[in-house]
Formats: sequence, C-alpha cells, structure tokens
Amino acid sequence: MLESLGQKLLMGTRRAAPDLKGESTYMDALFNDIAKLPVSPEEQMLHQCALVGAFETAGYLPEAGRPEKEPAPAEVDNRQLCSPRAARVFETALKKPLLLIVRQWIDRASRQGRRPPFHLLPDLLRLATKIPAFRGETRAYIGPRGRWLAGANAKWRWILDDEAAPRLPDNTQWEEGSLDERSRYLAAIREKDPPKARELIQSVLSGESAKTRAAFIARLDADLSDEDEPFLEVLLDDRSVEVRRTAAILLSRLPASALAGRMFARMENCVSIEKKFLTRTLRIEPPEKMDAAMKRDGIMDSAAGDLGSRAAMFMRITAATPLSWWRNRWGLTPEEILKGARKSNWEAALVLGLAEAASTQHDSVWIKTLLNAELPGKIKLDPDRLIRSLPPDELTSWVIGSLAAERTFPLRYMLTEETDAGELHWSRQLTDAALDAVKAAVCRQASHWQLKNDINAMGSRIHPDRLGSALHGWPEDHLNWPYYAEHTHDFFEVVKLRLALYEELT
Amino acid sequence: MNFTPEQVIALAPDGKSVTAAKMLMKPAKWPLLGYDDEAVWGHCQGSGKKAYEVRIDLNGPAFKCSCPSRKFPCKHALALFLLHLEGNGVVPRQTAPLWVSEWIVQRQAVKTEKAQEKKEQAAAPEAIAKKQAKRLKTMLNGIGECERWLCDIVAGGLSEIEGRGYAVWDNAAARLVDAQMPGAAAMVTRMAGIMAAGSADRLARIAVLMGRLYLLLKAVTRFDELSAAQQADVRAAVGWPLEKDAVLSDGQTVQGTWAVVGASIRHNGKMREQRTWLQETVSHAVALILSFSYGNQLPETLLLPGTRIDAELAYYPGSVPLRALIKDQRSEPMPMDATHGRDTIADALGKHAQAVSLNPWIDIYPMVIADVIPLPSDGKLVFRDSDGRHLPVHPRFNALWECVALAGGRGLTIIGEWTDQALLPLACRHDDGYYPFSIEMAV
Repeated sequence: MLESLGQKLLMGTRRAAPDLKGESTYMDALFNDIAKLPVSPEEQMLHQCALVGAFETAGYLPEAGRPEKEPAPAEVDNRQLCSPRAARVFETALKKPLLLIVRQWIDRASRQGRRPPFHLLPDLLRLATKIPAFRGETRAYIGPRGRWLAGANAKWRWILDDEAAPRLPDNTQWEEGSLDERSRYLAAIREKDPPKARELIQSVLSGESAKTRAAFIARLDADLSDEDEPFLEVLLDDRSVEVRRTAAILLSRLPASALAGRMFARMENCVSIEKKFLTRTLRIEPPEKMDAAMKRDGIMDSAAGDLGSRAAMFMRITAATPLSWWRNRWGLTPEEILKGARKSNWEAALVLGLAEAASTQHDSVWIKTLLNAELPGKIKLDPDRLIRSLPPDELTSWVIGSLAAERTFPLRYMLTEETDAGELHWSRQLTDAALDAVKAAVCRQASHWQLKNDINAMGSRIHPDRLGSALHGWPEDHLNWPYYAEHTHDFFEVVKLRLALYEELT
Repeated sequence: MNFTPEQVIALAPDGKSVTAAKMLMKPAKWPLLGYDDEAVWGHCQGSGKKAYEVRIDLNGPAFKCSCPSRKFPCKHALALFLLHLEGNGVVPRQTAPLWVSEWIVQRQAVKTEKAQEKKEQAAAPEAIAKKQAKRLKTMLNGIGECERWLCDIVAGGLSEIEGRGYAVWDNAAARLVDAQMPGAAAMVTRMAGIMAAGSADRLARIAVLMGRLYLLLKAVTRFDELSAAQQADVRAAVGWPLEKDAVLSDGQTVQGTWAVVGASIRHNGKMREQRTWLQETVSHAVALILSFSYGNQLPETLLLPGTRIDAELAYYPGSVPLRALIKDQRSEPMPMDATHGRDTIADALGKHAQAVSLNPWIDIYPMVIADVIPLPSDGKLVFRDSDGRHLPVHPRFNALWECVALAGGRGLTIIGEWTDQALLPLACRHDDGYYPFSIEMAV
C-alpha cells in the first residue's frame, strides 16, 4: 500500500488520481470515507498518507529468520576477566593506538591468566589486522571468543591460520604474484629452509628480468652461508650490473669465498706496513688500472665524491675485503690501522672503504672504532649508516655510552618502529641513562623540538621499574621548563597509564 | 550535589584541558586553597607573576577564573575541582574569603531575581490563557500557508521538485519556525534530508512524514476540540513546550528506584539533544529525561547509564507519558544490578503499536528486549529473539562488532530506541555485566 502511495506521490495528483485500494475491507471502507470528503484531490491524498503512514508505522511485523544460517555460539573463555581499571587502560591503549603498551598489557595479562572484556576484541583485531608483525602475539592471546569473531568476519580470518604447524606459503604466490609478493614469498622460504630458497631462485633465473633477478638475489642476505658461495660466484658473470653488484656484496661477507680470496690478494699487493721502532706506517700503492677480474668482482673505477677514479677504485676494493684480513695478516687493532694510515695520500679512500666494509659486514668493533676516531676534516663519514649497522645489543650499549657523554640525539635509534616490534621495553640501564640524559638536556637546550619529541616517544619504552621515578626529578624551576611542560603531556600521560597497567595486572 | 571525578572530566571542553588540569594538580602550585558547603576556591600559580583566582560554585556547578583562557571550564577550574574531590585534606575546610563569598552572593541574587520575575509573569490564569490564545493565532496563520504548500507539492508530484534542491524545503521550514512551530519545521527538514539521500525507500518515508505533518496541522486547527492529553501530544509534536515549573507542580508523579538504562545524543550543528532513559525497577515504567545544550554549555543533568537512583519523577502530560523531570532525587547514584521489565520482540512491537495508536507523532520509542542474538550479515546487523523473529538494527548504529563480540552467539538483553522502523541499540546486558554504547549522531 505504501509503495503504490509513494508512486502516486511521485507523479502528483495532476497526473494520477488518488484512488487507492486497501489491503482489507477495513482499509477499503476508510478509503471510501476519504473519497467522500468534500476536499480537493490533494487533500484526499494527504489524508491517505496520514492514514497509511500511521497504519504502517504501528503495524510493523518482524520477519522470520532462517536458523540453519546461524553460526554456533562461541566456546567459553575460562580465563578470569581483568579489573575495570585494567580494562580502561587497555581501551585507552587500543584507541590511540599505542602498540607497545598494548603488547605490554597483553604480556602481563596472559601471565596472570586474565582476559579483556569482550567488547574490546574488535579493536584488538582491527589493530592486529593493520600490523602483521603483531598478529602472532594476538593469535596466541585472543582466546575462543576472538577466534569465533574471526569466523564471522572475513577480514579477521588470519586468526584461524594454524600457527603450530606452519606450512610453507601457498605456491600460487610464487607462480603468479607480483614482484613484491614473490620476493616476500622467497623471504619466508629463506627463513624456514635457506637452501630451498636458493634452489628456487636458481630454477627461475634464466627466465626473469634483471630487476627481478637482482631483487631475488638480495633475499639471500638472510642466513647467508658458505653454501651459497658457488651459486653467487657464478652470478658474477651475469649480464646485469645490478645482479653482479649484489652478488659481489654478498660474497664479500664470506671470508672463505673465492672472491674474498681474490680481494685478499689485491690488498696484499696494495698495502704494506713499515715498522720503525714503535710506530707503524701504512704504505698504500693502489693499482693504476682496473682489469677484467676486478670488474667481474664488482669493483668500479668511476670517481666517487671527493675521490678520483684511482682512489675510488681502491676504496671499493677495501670495502669488499672481509675485515678479518687486517687482523689476520697484520695482527694490528683497528685503531693502529687508522693511525698508521695518517700520513698516506690514500688515507681518505682507505677510511671510507673501511667504513663501507664495517657497515655491510656489521662489524661492531670496526664501527665503534670509526665512530670514535678523530679523523681529519676532509674525511666525511656517514655516522648514521654506521650506527644503524650495529647489531641490536651493541647498538644499545653504544647509545647508553653516548647518553652518558651528554649526547641525547642517539636516543632516536632506540625509538624506531623496529624497536617497537622487538623487546617490550628498554633495559633498566638504558632507561636510567636516557632519563638522566633528557633531564639534563632540558636545562641545556631551550625549546628544542626534537628533544620534546624524544621525551614523548620515550614514555612507552622505559622500564616498568622506573615509571614512578620518571614522573619526578624534572627541573621544574628551570627557565626552560615551561616549554617542555607544555609539550610533553604525552610522556606523562603514557607513564601514568602504564603505572595503572602494572598496578592492576600484578 | 555530590560530584565524581568522571563527571568533572565530562565537563571539560576537550582532552587537552584534562591533561593540562592533571598536570596542575600539585599542591605546590596552589598557594591558597579552601572549601565550604557552597564553594571551592584557590589561587593557582601559573607562569606569570600574579596567581590566578579560581572559584567554583557547587550549586550548578559554575566556574570563574581570572586566567585569560577562552576555554570553559579552564584547566585551573578543572584542576581545583579534581583536587577537591580527591579528598585527603589537600583542600582544607575554611571560611570563604571576601572575593569568593561576594561572588556566591551575587550569583544567588541573580538567581532569586530571575525566579521572582518568572513567578510574577506566570501567575494569573488570565495571563496564561491570553498567552495561549496569542500563540495559537500565530500558529494558525502559518498553518494555512503550509497546507497550501503541501498541496502544491502533492499536486505537482515529487518528481517535479526532485532536482530543485534544498530551497523548496528550507523556505517552508523557515516559515514554520516563524509561526512558532519548530517541531513541524523539523519534519520538513527531515523530508528534505530523505529526498537528498535518495535511498530506495524515500518515497514511502516521505509519504509517511507528509501524512504525519498534515495530521499535525489539522490537529492544531482543531486544538480546542481535543482532549487535554491530545493537546499535550500536539504541543510536544509541534514544538510548543510546557514550562518546567508547571510540570513539576502539576505533572503526574511517580516514586521509585529508577535505573538509568541508556542514553543517546543527537546534534544538528547548533544544539545537542540528549535522551536519557530511566526504567523503574519494580513497575518497569519508563521515563525519558530530555536535556539540551549549545556549544560548550554544560548539560543539565548528569545521569550516567549503568547507575540507579531513588527519585520522584514528574511526567509531562500526554496520551503516552514518556518525558519526565526529576522532581526530587533521594539518593546518590548506585550501580545498577539487573535489567528488569524485558520483553520479547513481539511484545515490544505491540507496546509500540499501542503507543502510536494513541499518539501518532511518536518518533522515538524505548524498547527493552530480552534474549536476542545479534547476527551480522553483509556488514549489517539483525537481532533474533527466541521465537526466531528478526528485528533490523538501525543503519546508523556504529558498534556492530562490539555488540556481536559481547554476545558471542548467545542472547543479550538490548535496551534501544525504535526509530525509522529499526532498533537503535543504546546499551546491552551480557554475561559480564552492563555495557552502554556511545551513541552520538548528527541529524
């Protein structure tokens, strides 16, 4: 009835007469009464609207459902519900979102055998859907209600993947995926079965483009071992420059490889040490020209930065030589090498080459030596690259050392997204060093936007034992304080939030 | 009245004020603090030379601070309030200094002055009748015009105005507002919105609204022939409010323990309309407390869903008494323990049908439904009861998965508003307790 009325309303009474058929004799009678009223057709229609409208509004009838379409109820979650205050902390962390605090909450709650209120599960699922690195922890913690929800919502189906028996990713991703997808597939295979990854690349190599080949070879970076050497050695003859370069860089990390051996020989020809009483001087005589063997091993003679072509060539040879050679051949420490090169014309090329080697080979001894060395002004290293190449433990120690020396900028290495995905919080040692350093830095630097950013970012990372003391000891009487007080609300809020977390989930 | 920290935080204009206030809650920053039965006060040492004078009138509450901030209430006032509520002697009981007592007295004076004025105006019955007649006349003048406008549209058909945009409707709505019929104007604006949204069922919905508007206009024309209850219904629908004092003194009163079962907020850019639903625990009677606020203004009542109070309510008149005022609150808010008066879907719809048959302009009707399972399908939600029947969930409901998660495939008690032929859930009761959804919509 309402539909036909609506149609007539669309057309208007000038074009369609307002005669309506009721669905029952009762309605028909009422419509007849309306038709008999001494009013215009428009008013008749409005009467019908009022009548039918009231009828439809009051007379709504629910539909019957189909029970066989409904899923079974969720299993019982035997864990105890967390306290209301703990739930509020979890909700705050999920809504912002503060991923690290969510992870800390889950870690604590799972130790206590506590679960969050169920209405927070959708937010948790949404967060974990967005951040794949977080999915494993979520899957382990979410419980039967979460798995039931995943069954009902396709976006969350990843929860139901079986973690216990990890199967290798689906072959179709390798056969038909984009370069990115296939590259990730390779990375996954490499993690579980390194030789298989190599064999896979070998099998498709001839048919792929240069770009693809280079991208695949780069995945051998993970779990690199001497087993990969024969394959990589062959790749030094590949058509593509990019592939040859990548293979050469990888081989330079394998001291037992043939390429390394060739590099050792070249260095042997260029470098000698003069011993005069207690001083050591490096005598460097780089090759004049490049030969085909060098080219094959990825050495180029193009000028680089301030270095001419001969110097650049030497730099690259140095960069490609495993750093163990310096220790094994000469028995000298890195400091002694650097000192010994002081007077050489080729000092710059050597130092830059050593820095490059230290970065690609992740050699923490050399990296630290280079960072701390006093170098002549004309030699410009990239400290950021060196620092980022340190293994995680070394990086932390280095940062702690820097903080003690009153340099707060190293904090940003501990505030990256990678550190978010790893440990749940900083060590006590790092926390103490960081808190002391920033409190001192506030007095030294007025209105420093990077410092206040670092302070705000620290809040979720400091060790739980230091949360209480993090609220105090700030130089509130200092001239610089008002700026920081106004701009570090995030830090104090997060610290208080975490205090509540640890109080509630002990 | 006693306040809780949650309520104070709810008064803050934004989250930043709250964090700023929390930073100010150090006694070192307050060289002067004190409270008595009516007020709380203090001096707050900011970054300037002179401390700010902060005052709170507990009757209200109302705030006054000498800081230059435009936010209301400012962070100093919030901090002072929170410090006071912390207890543990931080704010000592004292005699109020002059700058506080003067302010309180001044506020009192303004209040009594206003109350006097109102009383004088309201008094005589002839005055009341005269006012009523004047209003009716203004409304009737607008009705003729509106009826002609409606007939024009019906004659030409909706297809003619489909492309013409908001102007057609805006003018008609404005004229209705001028004729002191804001409720009728709201109906016209709703029709405009439905036309613009262009949904598949827009013709049917507009037909219903047009009929309802026409009925309302006709009812106003015959106002004197209507019963008292029907007159009240028409006044409510058309937007001709009754004086609160009249309701408090003359309205039907009901005493009892009232559970605050759910709340919803609708805002239109200028004004926020908050509906708080109460249910009496023994008789299962339902009451609606309606409060309005504009911009940063404080909401008038502070009832949190999930609590219950002992109180005496006074109902507004009408064929289906729903809206009420709290005449006398007799207890502090306590936690709600259970939800009473639960219906099946069929019963709830039956009550609604009954109500609409008495008052055809009822737009939003409360429902408390027992044992329904929320079922998601294709991004939409339905509720299924134990008889196997489905109720559609309102498309503007934004907590679909939270509701499904709480149910876990089992039955929930749902408290909601039946509107636009769908149920808008406001809260639910599940295994772990009671959970209110946060329902705030632009209309």
